[in-house]
Amino acid sequence: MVDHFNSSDVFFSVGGETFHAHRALLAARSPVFKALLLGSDSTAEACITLNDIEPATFQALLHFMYTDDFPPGAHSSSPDSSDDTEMLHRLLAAAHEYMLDGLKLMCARKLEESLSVETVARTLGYAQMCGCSELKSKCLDFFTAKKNIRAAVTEGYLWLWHNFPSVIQEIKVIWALEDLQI
Amino acid sequence: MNSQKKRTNKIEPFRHRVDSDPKSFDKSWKKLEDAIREIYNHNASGLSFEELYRTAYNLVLHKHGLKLYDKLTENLKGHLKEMCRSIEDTQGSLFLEELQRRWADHNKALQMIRDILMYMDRTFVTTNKKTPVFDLGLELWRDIVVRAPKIHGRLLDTLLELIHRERMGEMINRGLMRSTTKMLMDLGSSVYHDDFEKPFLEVSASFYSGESQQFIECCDCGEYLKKAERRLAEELERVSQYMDAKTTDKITSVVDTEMLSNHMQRLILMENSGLVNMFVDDKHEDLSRMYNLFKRVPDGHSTIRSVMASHVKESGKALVSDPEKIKDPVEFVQRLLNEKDKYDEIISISFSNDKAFQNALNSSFENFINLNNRSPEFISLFVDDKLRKGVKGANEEDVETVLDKVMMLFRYLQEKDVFEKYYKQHLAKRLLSGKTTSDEAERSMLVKLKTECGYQFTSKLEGMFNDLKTSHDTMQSFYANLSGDTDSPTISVQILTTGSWPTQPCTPCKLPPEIVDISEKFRAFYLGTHNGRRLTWQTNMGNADIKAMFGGRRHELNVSTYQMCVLMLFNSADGLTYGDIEQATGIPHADLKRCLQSLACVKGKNVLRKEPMSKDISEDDTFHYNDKFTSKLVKVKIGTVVAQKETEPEKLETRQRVEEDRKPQIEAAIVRIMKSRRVLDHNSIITEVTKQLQSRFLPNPVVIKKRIESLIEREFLERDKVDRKLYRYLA
Repeated sequence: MVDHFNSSDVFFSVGGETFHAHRALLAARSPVFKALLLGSDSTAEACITLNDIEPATFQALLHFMYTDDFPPGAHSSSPDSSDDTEMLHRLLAAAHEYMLDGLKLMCARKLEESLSVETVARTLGYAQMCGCSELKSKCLDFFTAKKNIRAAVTEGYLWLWHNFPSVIQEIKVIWALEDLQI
Repeated sequence: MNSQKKRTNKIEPFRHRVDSDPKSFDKSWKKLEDAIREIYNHNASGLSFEELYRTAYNLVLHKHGLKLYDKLTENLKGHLKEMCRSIEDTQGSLFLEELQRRWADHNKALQMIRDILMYMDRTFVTTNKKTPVFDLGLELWRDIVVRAPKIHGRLLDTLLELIHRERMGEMINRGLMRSTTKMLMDLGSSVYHDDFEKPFLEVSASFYSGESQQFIECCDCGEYLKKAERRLAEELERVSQYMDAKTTDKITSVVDTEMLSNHMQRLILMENSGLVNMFVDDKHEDLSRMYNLFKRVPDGHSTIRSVMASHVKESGKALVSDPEKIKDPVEFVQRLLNEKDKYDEIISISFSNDKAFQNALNSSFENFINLNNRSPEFISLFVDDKLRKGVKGANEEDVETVLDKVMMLFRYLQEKDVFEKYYKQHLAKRLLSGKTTSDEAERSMLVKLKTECGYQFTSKLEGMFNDLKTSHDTMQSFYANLSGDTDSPTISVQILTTGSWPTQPCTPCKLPPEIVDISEKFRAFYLGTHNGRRLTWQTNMGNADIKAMFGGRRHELNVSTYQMCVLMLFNSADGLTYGDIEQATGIPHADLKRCLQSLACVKGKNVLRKEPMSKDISEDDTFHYNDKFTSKLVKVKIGTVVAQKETEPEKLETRQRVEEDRKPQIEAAIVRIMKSRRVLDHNSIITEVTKQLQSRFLPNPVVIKKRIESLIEREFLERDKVDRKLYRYLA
């Protein structure tokens, strides 16, 4: 349906790319799109520009809204692929912004599966930002597992340190508790 | 690998950076603030929802939720204060319109603002238990605009003023009223109640209090009720048009109280137009209206019922006690039936066949019918009249209907056994004189009585019918068997079973020899076929057809048996004294006097001449055959002077017999009760006996007591040794 031009009644311009869609379906899936497309502040304009979202991310968003699934080939078989992880981060944030809880859950699950020393810090930050408590707690567990101490020296950790000081505090507390137990 | 990561990092600018820079908050807020202003200025079309949403989203994400919320509140307050001023400044009649316009604007604005701040509403507001954006907007509207000192009072006054004008007949803008009350409802049902409904009800109460006072001074009952009905309908319509549905019951309750409840007594008892007058004049429409209106107020129906009951009782009492009205029994009963019809119609048409009213009517009738102790007799006479002559020109159905209605009256009788006695007498007379129009109607009446009172009541009556049928068959077979004897007079015999018929015992008088002859032949015939029976001629009943010549003219006289005996004497003598006649016939004094009176003293029927010519019979009189008798008719019927209604002594006798009959019935009831209960106290016996017998008559407690004494004497019961009020059954 996403590629079906004829019956679509709105299109989005995202980072130079155009996406066709159906107002009614989007409105049914997300309250934010509902307000945007059908609410009293909605625009009758046929084309809506969305800033601040990547085309690939938007495409995945649309695909989810139409099919309840990730787009095909969105992941390589390797769970460690950092491209995939970043994609998931962006998708998670977009799902949070546009209030697509189902998609959020799917992204969180996928991120849980692909936790690694390189990715855990960023994932933790996104989990905190988007309010994914299960993902967050899995990340914390991962962090504080002794063998993963190397995660503390990643760039992600630095990023976390800059943007989510409260989370860093939590980690330190857990580590301290762990130390006491030694 | 690493460089790849770095590249990735550089290419994508991270947009989710936490910014605690106050300037960036202010910048974001300014965007929102400006947008809200445009919204309130009806300029929203140029705004980008997506951008504004994202701005607010980011603020909350970066933990500025509280600041955003507070800024929003202040901002809304500001806009509302402006609106408030413009509403306050509106002159006169445009006030409500301006209020409504601003309200609509505010609502629309709130929706947009809520959408823009959706993220804050769903996360920050919920977590921190703050009032959601839309509700916040409503609360602020309520507090800043609706309850502004210069607006609050004016709003209420305007609404009430308009309602008052509409009540006085003006047309008002109902749409505006509706949207205003809806606004109050949207602000919360307590706002609607406190700021409008409560004062509305108070004002309405005093309005209707005043109006009802006015009406009641100048209108009669029927007019007043029409007005009340109209006002009630108006108020219902008003609420449905521009108030909340739950005000319906409250306002109608106010109208009910002020217009109906408070004046109920005065209306019902109003002279010349109140309830009683409506009954008297059969004002069905007014009665219907009163019934429907007073259904709504406490004690409404019960008051109507009790006024009706006492009126019916009073007019009924007058009916049964008025000596003029009770002269003619048939008229008397007809009047009762008319009265019943009248009220049945009223209850059916105006009171929707309400059972409670029907019951009240029934007990009123029961009450006054039994005030006259001749009611049972009169009802029987009425039935007698109908069954003798039939209803003129009426078909079977009509007779049935009349009899059914009479049965209704019968049910009211307390002394049904008295009725039974009279009915038996009257039925006997009808059957024996052949004066009944329709056998079917007679049978139908019996069935009704059987259904009402049981088999016991009617078994003897049915016996009477059977006797006549059997007699008819017997006569046929008598004449079939009789060897030709054309000279003797033809007789037709009715054989009555003793006990089934209410006959008085009578010593047979001396019959003329011609009659003796044939009657003995019959007696022999009958006793030949019926063993062990005894036949007694009832000469005080029966009649005869006699051929006579008066001055050359032939006449056929129809006379009673006694009269026949007297007249036949004159075949062998021209003149006879009273004494002669008495000796020759053996007819008892009283009967003989009446008999001679009817033969000699009645104009047009004087087949005998009396000396001296006086109205009364004395024992010194002489009688001659009156050759000068003339009549236009060939067949002349000479009846006996007899009253249809009972004479005083006869009445007394009947009543005495009824009382005598009651004694064994009471005793049987007592024995039945004691046999099953074994031990019972005095008062309980009275109650139980009354209950058992009330379908036939109302037993007198004094009589019951006497019966108990009698049963103790005959050792059916005994008194308890300790408690004198307790009785025990003796097996």
